[in-house]
Amino acid sequence: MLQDLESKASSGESFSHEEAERVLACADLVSVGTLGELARRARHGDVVTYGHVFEVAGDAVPSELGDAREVRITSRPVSVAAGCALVRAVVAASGDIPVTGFSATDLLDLVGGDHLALAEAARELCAAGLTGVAYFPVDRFEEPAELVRALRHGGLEVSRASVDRASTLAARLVCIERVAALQREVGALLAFAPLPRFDEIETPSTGYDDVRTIAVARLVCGEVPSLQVDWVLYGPKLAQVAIAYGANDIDNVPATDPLGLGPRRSPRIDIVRQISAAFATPSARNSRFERVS
Amino acid sequence: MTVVAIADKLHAGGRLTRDEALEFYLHAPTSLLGGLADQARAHRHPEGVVTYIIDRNVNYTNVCVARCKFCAFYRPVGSAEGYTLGFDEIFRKIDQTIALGGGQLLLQGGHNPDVPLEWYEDLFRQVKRRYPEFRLHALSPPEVIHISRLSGLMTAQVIDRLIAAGLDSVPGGGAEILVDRVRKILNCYTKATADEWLGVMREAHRAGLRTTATMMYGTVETVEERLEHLFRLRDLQDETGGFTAFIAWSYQPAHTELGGTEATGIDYLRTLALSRLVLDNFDNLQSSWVTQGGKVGQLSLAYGANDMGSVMIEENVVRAAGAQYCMDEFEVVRNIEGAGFVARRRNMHYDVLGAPVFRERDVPRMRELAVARDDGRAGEAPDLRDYEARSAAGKRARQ
Ligand code: SF4
Repeated sequence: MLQDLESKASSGESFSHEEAERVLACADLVSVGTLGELARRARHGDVVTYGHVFEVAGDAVPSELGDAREVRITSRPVSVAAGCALVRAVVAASGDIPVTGFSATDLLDLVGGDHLALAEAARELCAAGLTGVAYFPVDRFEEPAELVRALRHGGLEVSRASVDRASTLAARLVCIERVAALQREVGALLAFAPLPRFDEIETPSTGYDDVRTIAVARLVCGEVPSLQVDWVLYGPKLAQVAIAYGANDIDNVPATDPLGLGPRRSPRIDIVRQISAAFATPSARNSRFERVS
Repeated sequence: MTVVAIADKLHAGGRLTRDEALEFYLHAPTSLLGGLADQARAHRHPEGVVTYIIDRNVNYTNVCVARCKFCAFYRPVGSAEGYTLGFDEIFRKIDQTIALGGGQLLLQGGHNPDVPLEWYEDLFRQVKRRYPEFRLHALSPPEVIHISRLSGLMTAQVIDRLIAAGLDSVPGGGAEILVDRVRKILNCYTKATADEWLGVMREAHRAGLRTTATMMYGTVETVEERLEHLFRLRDLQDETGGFTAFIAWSYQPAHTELGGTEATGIDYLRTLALSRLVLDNFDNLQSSWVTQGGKVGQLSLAYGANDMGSVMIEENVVRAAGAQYCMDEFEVVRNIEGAGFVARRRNMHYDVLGAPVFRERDVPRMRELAVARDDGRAGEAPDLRDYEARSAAGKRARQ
């Protein structure tokens, strides 16, 4: 049903709004996956990357970083000063592993929505050792380009776009197109994680919607290099299936073996197994999306 | 034959040979496998309906002498954690099932030497007396073989007696992989060889019962052995036509003696799709959301499945091995409709019963699956004292 779009997908050219809507509405899910996979292969060949992340959820400073290539602070600071203090403590414990942290939304809230103050906060966090913001939820900002400029002006990278909440496919397409436009305008993004970080408890997103979102994000955001799925949030099964729909990066693979499942089932081994079983070549990457294996 | 030639053969309505199926599984892209399976599903079910059943998965005992290496559910005879439910406990579960719109129990359990044939007969008769419309989908082939060994009767005689007591259909559990090399490694050869499992199903079909067939893959079998399993089922279905449905699920390794890893989501979708193509004489293929989770469970509908299986209400076996997913009727229907299908309730024979119950009346939401006993209590119910125990521990307990 979508065969006429296959050559465009293979060329890596970005899909239009009308084409995206057609793909989202297509009942033949396997054809949707074919387009997403063609676009992924056009950009990345057989390689699917993954990033080991050590998440710092509260204010507990990590002691054992395992395979971490990025330390990510996921909490909301009560003030810029408190955020800086936490960053300094985490950086001190992280050696030369880059530390990212916080959501751009939370930082903007802390400074009362003022872009100049945001740039200043970014400068302070950068001076404390933060390399970039962890989350840049495009659903929260109608005009995100100015925010990216403010954060980068202060020295923080905005290398990943994310989505906090988008329960309908229409809302997800708005986010996807916002990311495509943002990349055209500022060109800062290395990756986009289009699946929402927060879900509705009563009506969680479905597998169909999630893989359709992945495929359309890949097809619309041709200028964003990597399209990623969060291993912890979405689980190994959906993360792996997403590869067949266009994802080329598995993010947030645990840096340690929190469940103590033993060497054969540790995240380090399992991620390689999962990617290989998706007929792709696994490659570890760092927080700059440079391949390290 | 090349993948393209095999795809052409399937398009033309041809039947896969073993070699072609192997070539296809090993080399066809997932999109091609899925696309062809979806076409086969649509050909068999052109009306765009996806069915599901409201029933309860009751495991009447976890005491088992079989000791399969892949099983995290069983407890050995004499274990302080062993349990056997009483009739009243089972009746309460039936009441709860009916309240949720259900009309059937899927009743399976361990091979407990202290539960004789008469217990099952009495249970089935009492269920039928109290709930005349209620269905009993009960006792997989290895359980029938176990009861035959305990009673000294032939399996066909056991089936006849169970039918006389109220058995309606036989679940396809215990098939694992129908290849004896695999069964020996998994320590499930003695509970039933491949031929014995198929033999009980043949007898059940001859006795007029419909049954399901299953496959638990992802342990130690080769791809060829996985295919051997499918072809043995296809052959028996050609012979009897007694299978209503096929259900594949991946081995769940947590807390098992065998250990290891679970097959991946893509492997599940490929295995499901290949099953739809090989089992061209099976009407229905179920999604196994209970092992794959709701999301991959829903994706199954694009890879050959036409049925979302059971709402389950209760589950003990897969949970013991680490998988804990829950979908109530509302969720099952939402997933079916979200995939673009019409959701319809069915019975074990796959007769459509109607629209979702929750659209006709208020049904409480179910956030997690129940377990055998809410309070986690072990031990056998007092009414077991009326039956003869075979094990030393069982005899002592009933003195
Ligand atoms: S799978 Fe069944 S027969 Fe095997 S050990 Fe578990 S309960 Fe017993």
